[in-house]
Amino acid sequence: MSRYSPRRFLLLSRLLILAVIAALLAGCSTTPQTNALLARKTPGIPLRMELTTVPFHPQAQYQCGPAALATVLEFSGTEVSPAALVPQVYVPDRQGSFQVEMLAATRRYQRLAYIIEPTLDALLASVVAGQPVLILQNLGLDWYPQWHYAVVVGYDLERRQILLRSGVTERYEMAMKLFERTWRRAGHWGMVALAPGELPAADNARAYFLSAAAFETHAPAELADTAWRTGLERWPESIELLMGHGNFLHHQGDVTAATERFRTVTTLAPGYGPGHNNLAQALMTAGRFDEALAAAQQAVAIGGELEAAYQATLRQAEEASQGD
Amino acid sequence: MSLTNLKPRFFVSLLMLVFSLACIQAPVHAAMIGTDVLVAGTELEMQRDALREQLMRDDVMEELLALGVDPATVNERVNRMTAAEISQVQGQLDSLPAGSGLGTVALVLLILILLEVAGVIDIFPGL
Repeated sequence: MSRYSPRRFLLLSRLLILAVIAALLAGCSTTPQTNALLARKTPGIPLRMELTTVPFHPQAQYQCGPAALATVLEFSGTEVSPAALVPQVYVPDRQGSFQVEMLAATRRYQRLAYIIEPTLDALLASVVAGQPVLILQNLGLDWYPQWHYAVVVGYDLERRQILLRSGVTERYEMAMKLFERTWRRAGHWGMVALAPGELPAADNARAYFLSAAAFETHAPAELADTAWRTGLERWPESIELLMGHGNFLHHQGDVTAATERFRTVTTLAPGYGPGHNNLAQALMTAGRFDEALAAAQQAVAIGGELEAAYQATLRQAEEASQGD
Repeated sequence: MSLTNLKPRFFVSLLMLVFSLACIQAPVHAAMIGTDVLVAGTELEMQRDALREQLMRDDVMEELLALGVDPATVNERVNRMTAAEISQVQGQLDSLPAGSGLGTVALVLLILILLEVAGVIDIFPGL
């Protein structure tokens, strides 16, 4: 028999494919977060936690997006069926749902779509805080992705499991390491739906600001106000939250309260141009032109990337105080 | 046409001209640093440019329509996205993750490949 017989060639190519698959699997099999969490002497969170009252909506084919979204929205007090969400998040030719539309649809039901930090710690902290997390997984491989949305409702550190509402399984126990691999292949993406007045588990004012700013664009004024105030109660010195609420109040015509917010910004961060600029604008609206002029001059003196806007404010203030 | 007829007309036209000029003046809060600018960070490039944003929205809408989204709902879906979200996804909807769960076709294919590699079946003779 020749050295290069078809049979031998077949065997060699099979071995080669096996080696490639093994290499690919090895390449994505590390689970640093799970290892770190389990190695800790005191995990800092309860050993197990399960939000048993989270509802379950089994998914129709390709429609894990609407099912997972209905799950977190219903738990948050909004009655909505997966079928009602299909026309809002399902994309027929991709047979799935995009992350941005999951966020946008969450806001449509008057919930803040808050993206958690991309860590297992943040994920479990949310569960401990009583907030189920809608996550994206890649159940396949990097080169053969199988994107899937599910809802994390619990965990068990001793049994090393993550508990999910997933697909057609109401209580899916997934090995923590396997979960981490599938979650990591999807960029560790997860969101919680917060009712206005509710805070996320993490101490991250910037992340909350982003979710409140997006929420504000389509929310009724009263709910948007609640979202801003809730954030400011938790992070009273967050410049971004103060600015966001100030802008919101100014837009609503509450000039006195807006002025107060911007004034706080300039006190907390004297070198922050937008604070002086918006204070000048609010003071102008209030008819306090001399103070506005002083604030606008401050902003221009600070300068920076937004200087063109500061200059425009200064010109307005100059005209206004001359006309006064 | 007498002068007495002309006068009121002239004043009405003048008044209308003044009003229309007032309307096209920049809005009073044009130089307010908006929350959307803070969201984008303070990079000048990301500053909200209404025209540019509308073009991007139109792009995303066309992409969604091309992917089979119902024309009756596409407008609302796109409008719900923030400016930052629009700029993240514009031009990329073909490749972005779209969570769907395991499709049966994919599952069958995966099993077949595994069986093939394990030498149980031989439906891909090249392997």
